[in-house]
Amino acid sequence: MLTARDLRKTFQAQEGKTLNALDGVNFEIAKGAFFTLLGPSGCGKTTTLRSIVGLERPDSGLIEVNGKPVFDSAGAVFVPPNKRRMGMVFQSYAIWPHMNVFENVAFPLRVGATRIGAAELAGMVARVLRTVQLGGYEKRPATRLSGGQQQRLALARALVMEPDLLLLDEPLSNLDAKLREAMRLELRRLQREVGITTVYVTHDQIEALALSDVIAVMRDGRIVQSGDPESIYNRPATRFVASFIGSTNVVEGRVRAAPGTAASGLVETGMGSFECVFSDAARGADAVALSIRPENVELTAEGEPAQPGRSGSHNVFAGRIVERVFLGEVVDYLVAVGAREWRVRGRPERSFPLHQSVSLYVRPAHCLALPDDLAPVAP
Amino acid sequence: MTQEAVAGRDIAPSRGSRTATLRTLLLSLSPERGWLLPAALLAALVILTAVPLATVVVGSFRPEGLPLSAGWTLAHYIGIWSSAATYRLLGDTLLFAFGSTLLAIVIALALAWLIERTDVPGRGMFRVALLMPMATPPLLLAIGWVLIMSPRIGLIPTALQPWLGSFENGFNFYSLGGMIFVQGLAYVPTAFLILAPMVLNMDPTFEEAATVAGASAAQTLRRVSLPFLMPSLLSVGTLLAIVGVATFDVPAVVGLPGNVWVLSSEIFSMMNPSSGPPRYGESAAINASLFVLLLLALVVYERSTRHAERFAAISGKGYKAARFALRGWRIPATCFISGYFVLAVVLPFAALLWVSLVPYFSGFKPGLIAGLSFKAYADTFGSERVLDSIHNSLLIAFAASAGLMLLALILAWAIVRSRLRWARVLLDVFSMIPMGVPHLMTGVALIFVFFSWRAIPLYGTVWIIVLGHLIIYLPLASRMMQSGMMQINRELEEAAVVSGASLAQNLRRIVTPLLRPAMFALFLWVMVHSLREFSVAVMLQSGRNEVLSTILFSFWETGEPARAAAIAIVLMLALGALVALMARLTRQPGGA
Repeated sequence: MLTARDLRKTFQAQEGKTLNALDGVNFEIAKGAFFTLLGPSGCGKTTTLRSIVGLERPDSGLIEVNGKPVFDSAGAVFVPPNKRRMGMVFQSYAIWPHMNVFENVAFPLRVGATRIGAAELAGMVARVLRTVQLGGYEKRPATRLSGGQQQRLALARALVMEPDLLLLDEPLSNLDAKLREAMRLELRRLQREVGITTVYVTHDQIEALALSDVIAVMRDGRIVQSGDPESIYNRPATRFVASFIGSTNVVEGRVRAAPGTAASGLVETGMGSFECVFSDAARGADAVALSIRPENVELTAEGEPAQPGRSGSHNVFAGRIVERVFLGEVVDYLVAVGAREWRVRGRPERSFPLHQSVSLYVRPAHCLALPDDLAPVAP
Repeated sequence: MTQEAVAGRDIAPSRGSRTATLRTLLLSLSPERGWLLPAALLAALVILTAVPLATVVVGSFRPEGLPLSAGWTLAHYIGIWSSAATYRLLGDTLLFAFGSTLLAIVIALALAWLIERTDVPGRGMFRVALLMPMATPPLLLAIGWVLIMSPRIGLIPTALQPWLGSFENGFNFYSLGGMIFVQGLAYVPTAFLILAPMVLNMDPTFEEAATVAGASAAQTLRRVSLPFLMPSLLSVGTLLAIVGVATFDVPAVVGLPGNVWVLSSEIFSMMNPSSGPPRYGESAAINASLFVLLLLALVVYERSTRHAERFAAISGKGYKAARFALRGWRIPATCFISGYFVLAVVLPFAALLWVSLVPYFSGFKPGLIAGLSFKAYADTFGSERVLDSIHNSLLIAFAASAGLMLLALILAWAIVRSRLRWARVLLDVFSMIPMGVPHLMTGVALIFVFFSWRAIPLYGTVWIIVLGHLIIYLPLASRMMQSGMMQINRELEEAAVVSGASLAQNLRRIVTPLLRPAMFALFLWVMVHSLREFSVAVMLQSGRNEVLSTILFSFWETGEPARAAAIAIVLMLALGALVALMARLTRQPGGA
């Protein structure tokens, strides 16, 4: 439904430096999908969103909605933002303070090209206000709304003209934690109910995991990996993605036995050798980064017999528990292994005390060898 | 629904080139990316600000002085800068400027300190009341004080005569000292408006550290607070000195009768000699030289404001300094503040009122009280000439306010919202040029322009004064509007655009309603300043375009003080009402 092809844009920063805001962004979004652009500040996600709606103009590339280009540098096509018929929720909500709730929502209907009769307009406004659970608030001055209400008002205004596309720019970042969780659920429910194709921008990976059908992880103006939440979480393509989504332990190593056509290979690290699964991008590499999630580390107390299922001398190393946090359904450990500290998440029924010497084991399937795109570049 | 990043595919075939050019042209009209609007605005600004300047500079190199006359010469410059009189003039001008600046800063700093950092009683009222001197323009302040202090028939000398004898050979108010006194008083509100926020927002931790280390209040003041304020003081001082070098109101009223001349008096007399034709060339040369001096001073000002910002640290959490308790000093402090108002507003107003009500002015004698009447008012406001001047003043004020409001709105929009860096920088620079141009020089420039290009029949009309006011108030109007525009979050306009609004709909429904308070404040501000403006109006004066300030001055010069005073009182009351209205509209929550 929405296609972006090779979007590029550079900015002139101060002191004459050029900033690569978009460095070849490509994606396709299916109709009705919830598509999230996720990444750290400055990765280009907001620039991409604003390019979709027309508030930014890339230097080159193509953006098509339902097959029709709204931006095409080759053919010099640029549909101005007030003609693209997309709904957008801004980070600050941009609720107009000099209007009341009704006027804010009615605005898109009033400035549009088609004339809508007063009765029909009132009906459309009332309907969308009910959808966002602001029914009956028409006469309230916009300045007398709480944060959550303002956000819902911004949503209503974006949806009232029944657009094909809904764009949201970090809409939950201004809310406190409890409200954020509640609004997350509401957003998801709303999007499913209305069935509208949605593009969402955030730096919060939990939001991305909770809301999206597809997540595109961005960094330095490019999409590094794109997929559904489970793929992104369980099969990150690079070290950056693995570190950015959820928490993980990373160990650098050199390949001793390349995987070839098999699923797993052998990697030598400072802590011992690891049999691990290689991501596609890491198959030809010499130096890799191993990503091991805290919940996938199995602990045994020193001296205890090894648990069944372990094979060989790989994937095992020793450490000592230096921190222990009981969180109810899980116990979080900080385990000192040599000079480093590993995060391990364990079950409460098999719990280890502080200062206990332990042996750590990771199944090969849970040990991911990834290209190390966070390593400092050699001079 | 796993999607993989799609590698590049063939892009849609390119369109015809004619549609491409059309689209590019249409895009250039869009305010954010387009160059058409900024270019048009820049052209207008250049005509308004740079062209008049250029005519004066060119004229200074012409033997006959007018820019379109023949020949080139350096004779004017040589004549001026080789004459000892010029240096004496420059010396007196600098003395006047710096003296009045120093006086104003000392008073304003004391007032700011008392009102913002101590618990002096009535401080809320005083803070608001400090706007009132805007209703007492320097011209009227000067006339009022001359009435009070004139050696022979001044109110104070005559009132004290029974006890102290005649003052005629004693203190002479028509001196540099008198000029510095009046100008200093006139500057205090401006200096206060700039210093008070800085005093209020000083980071308290530096002073607290001094107190904890054992310093007394006086020592903290001297060793910590003052040094911290020094950059701000220097920056305000430079600004005031720049104005002081070029101002004409006070030198005209207080200086000329005592034969004290400054550069502005010299320029005026060159353009309005008692005999012979105006000396265009020489006045152009003085103006151009003065402009260069002021430009240098403006550079110093820009540098010093940058430093000032470095020092004026506000701790981010909004933690403000505590107020000093004055205790035994409360009464003296209140007297001091009230004293300023007495000197700056009450006494001059009372003097003018007295003069407007007595049958003839001969100082203060109790016996005259019986003869007070409103005859002067009836005479003055019954005269057609005066009524015409009121009409002119109002017309000029309205036209200048409305014109500036519109111009500043579009200008601020273009400066704040344009994506083109050259547009933002150039538009701002050109709108600031008039700050370095003395008002008299603007008047001279307009004479040069419209006298040389008689095809445009503006010479001698009210509209040339409107143009003059547009030029001299442009910098402040532009800054005021920009400040208002920057308060509007860009996303409020973007939301309108994304919702489908065109540029016109955006401006009409979103920007203008949100800017309304700023626009209204600007309108009133320009009205007040235009009504009280004197230098430009007197330079461009002709029989047909007299305004209140010039007709007042004319009555004063021709020995009809009662009529002058009557106009002055009415003007002050009208301005007072406007200033009060403006204060209510721009009411800000004051400090505790």
